[in-house]
Amino acid sequence: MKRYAPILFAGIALAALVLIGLIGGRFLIYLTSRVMILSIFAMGYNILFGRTGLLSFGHAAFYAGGAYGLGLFMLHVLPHPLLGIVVGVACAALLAVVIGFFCVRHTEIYFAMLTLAFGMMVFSLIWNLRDITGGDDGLVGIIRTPIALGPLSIPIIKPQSYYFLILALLLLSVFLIYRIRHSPFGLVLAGIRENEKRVAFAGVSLKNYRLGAFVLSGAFAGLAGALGTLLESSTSPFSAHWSHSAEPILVTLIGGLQTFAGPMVGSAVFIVLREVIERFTHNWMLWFSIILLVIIMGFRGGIVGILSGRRK
Amino acid sequence: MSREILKIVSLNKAFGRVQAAADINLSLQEGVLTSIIGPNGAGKSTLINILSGSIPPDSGRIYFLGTDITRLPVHRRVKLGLCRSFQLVNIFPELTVFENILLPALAAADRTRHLLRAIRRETAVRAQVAQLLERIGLQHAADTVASALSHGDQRVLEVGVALAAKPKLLFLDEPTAGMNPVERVRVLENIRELSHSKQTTFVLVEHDMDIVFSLSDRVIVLHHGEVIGDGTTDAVKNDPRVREVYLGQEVPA
Amino acid sequence: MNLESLVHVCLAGLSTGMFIWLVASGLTLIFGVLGVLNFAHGSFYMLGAYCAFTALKLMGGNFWLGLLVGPLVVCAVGFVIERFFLRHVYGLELPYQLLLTFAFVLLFDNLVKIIWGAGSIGSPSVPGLSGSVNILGRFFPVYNLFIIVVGPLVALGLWALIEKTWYGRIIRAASTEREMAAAIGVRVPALFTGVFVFGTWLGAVGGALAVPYIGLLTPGMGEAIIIEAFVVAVIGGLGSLKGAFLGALVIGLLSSFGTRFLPAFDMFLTFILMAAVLLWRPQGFFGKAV
Repeated sequence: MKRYAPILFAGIALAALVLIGLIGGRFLIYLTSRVMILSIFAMGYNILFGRTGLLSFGHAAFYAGGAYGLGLFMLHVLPHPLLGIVVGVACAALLAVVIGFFCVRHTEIYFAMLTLAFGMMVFSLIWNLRDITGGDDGLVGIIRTPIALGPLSIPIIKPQSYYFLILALLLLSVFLIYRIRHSPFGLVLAGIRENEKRVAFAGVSLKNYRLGAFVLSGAFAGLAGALGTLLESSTSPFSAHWSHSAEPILVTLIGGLQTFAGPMVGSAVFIVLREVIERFTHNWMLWFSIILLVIIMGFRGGIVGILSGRRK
Repeated sequence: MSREILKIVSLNKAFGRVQAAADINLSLQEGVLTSIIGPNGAGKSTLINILSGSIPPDSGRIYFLGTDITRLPVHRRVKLGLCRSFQLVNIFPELTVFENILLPALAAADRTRHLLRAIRRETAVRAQVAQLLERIGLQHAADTVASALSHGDQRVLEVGVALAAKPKLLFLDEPTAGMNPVERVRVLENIRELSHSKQTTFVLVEHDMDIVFSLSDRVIVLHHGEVIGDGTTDAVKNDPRVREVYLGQEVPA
Repeated sequence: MNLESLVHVCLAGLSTGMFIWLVASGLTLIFGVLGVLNFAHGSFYMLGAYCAFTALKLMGGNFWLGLLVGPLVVCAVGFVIERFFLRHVYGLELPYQLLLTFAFVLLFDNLVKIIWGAGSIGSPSVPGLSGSVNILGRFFPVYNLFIIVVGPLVALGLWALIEKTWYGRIIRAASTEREMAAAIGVRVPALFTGVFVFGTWLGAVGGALAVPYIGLLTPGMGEAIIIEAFVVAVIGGLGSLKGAFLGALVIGLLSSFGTRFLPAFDMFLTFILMAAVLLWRPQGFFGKAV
């Protein structure tokens, strides 16, 4: 029974997501769209953090790379959402290659500080290059034009149809990340987290594999950024701010570090709880921080950890 | 005459005022089981650390099968075929025994770059891993998490992880410390067998003189970072300088 | 650029730098001894500002009394955090420590909004230090001159404390040789609490002094300063007080010259310097080797 529980949960979750898309109201669809986008961001982040133990404060920059990559492409080159997403992901990955090349030279606190520095460089550029990025206003008026695929044209202007595009890309991401986790590459990443000295003595270049994980997680951050931009029809420079980098870690912490479902469960809890609490009080941050403190002090396995009976 | 696998030319290393390696010149031959002995602080660990790439030497050169590896990082040396095991258990504690061996085996087979291939499909490498596990006697524990093994089994696994990288030259740092007699015999048998089959050339760092003298073809004695004795077991046993260093310590004659 | 504006840009840089130093000193001390990079240090700064402001209001508008009382209140907060939270995560991996202090940032930002309201509060001026003086034909705020004087005084005090007193010897011993310090009878946990509370006090004093300097109290004011303090601490070498002092000077001057000549890239310059130091000299100007 226990073996099939994850498959059962996954099935129920997928059915619920499809059902929400089919019959959910406007608000529920918007909210769930955000949950899915945050899930992609957090799952991607977890490739780096959950598997190699590297804490990055620069991933907001890659999120913004995806957001601005898509935005600029759609506004100035071609209003094609799918190509825009591809361009956004490519921008984010490229940025991650450049930044990662420098950052993976360090680990622990020095890595965290380096990613912070590079991430804030990107933020300051977005903030100051008004002519290109719109400065503090961001890019606006990014419209979800129909996706042209040869003779086919798929409209995604309706939140409901865009919802299914996000769902499809979420499933693709889950599939890819699952495969990565269970690949030889994924085993090396797990090894790096466990004992990096030994990984080197297995004949593996630590830097290259750290960089690999860095770029992969940056690419998923870019995907989340591109999708978020299409959802809101605009970008915000604050999506590149370091404090935004903390979001995927914090939701993953709630869901469960080092678990596959943790980032997704955490994202759902984070966004839904926030909506609920904000109905009653303005003090969402207070409650959120108390939840974080409780989890850090006593339940480091997160929700998934508690449910599966593991307390790390 | 077998070929020269490792050549060390005037190697020096000092930590402050302590000379850990003093003008060491050595040539190791392929297939010759060599032991490095010496009192505590003789510089044995330092020598292994320098040769395997953890510490850079102050001066001198190291050639592995004719290639200068003095400045190569650890993982490149391992790729060339030079690996080591550790005195303290140094495994992947939260991975299973099978995965512990699988990781270096995949790296040796150059298959770690595959991002999307299921690890289950790596049948060839998995078969090698199963074989190695059987060889070191851990096949029954394949799916156990490494940290749950007994200390002795962890030591055996430590040697197994080093072997899985398929090294041409393998340094074993006190490989049998902390093992029970059964495990010890099994590991030593493995070393003897692999050494005879010439797949791997072993260099042992050992305190246990019984092991050293029963297993080695050649013994190198270090003292204060200097080579003070070098030769067959008999030659070393009867070397007056070696006897002097070990004075008061038991040397089986 | 003439001499007058050069002097004024330098003065502005000095006051900015000394101001960041006041915050970075506590951060650096805590990192040097406890090994914890404390995101909540910016919150201590914010709480120091708010508490000093309230103390000042309650006690008849005396700025100096506020400066004395406010930070002491924040010390109690620091004590609770170290004693009941941080102490339990020293043994855990680095991310848990960082995220714990980050959770406190969110907590205090929200608490300040509840207690003092979400809007900005204007600050009263300091009798005797208000107004401006004429320096080479231009006016410069007296209070900023005061900060330029206070910064080095704090540095001098810290130096004397660490290098010349018995406490300082123990702190130095505990930061380099933790086991050794414990072995010779130092109660390391108590020492850690003490250092953390002292670091908290430094941050809170920085906040209290900031009230007239920046003129406005806003929830979230700690988040901006903590990043600048990180930059300074990194450039000087994490854990090195001397380095943090010089780092603060460098960053203060860089940002005032940057604002003057390259206004669009002033923030960018700061972070590129931080990254460059981390890459080429990760131990900073004066840090211990990594």
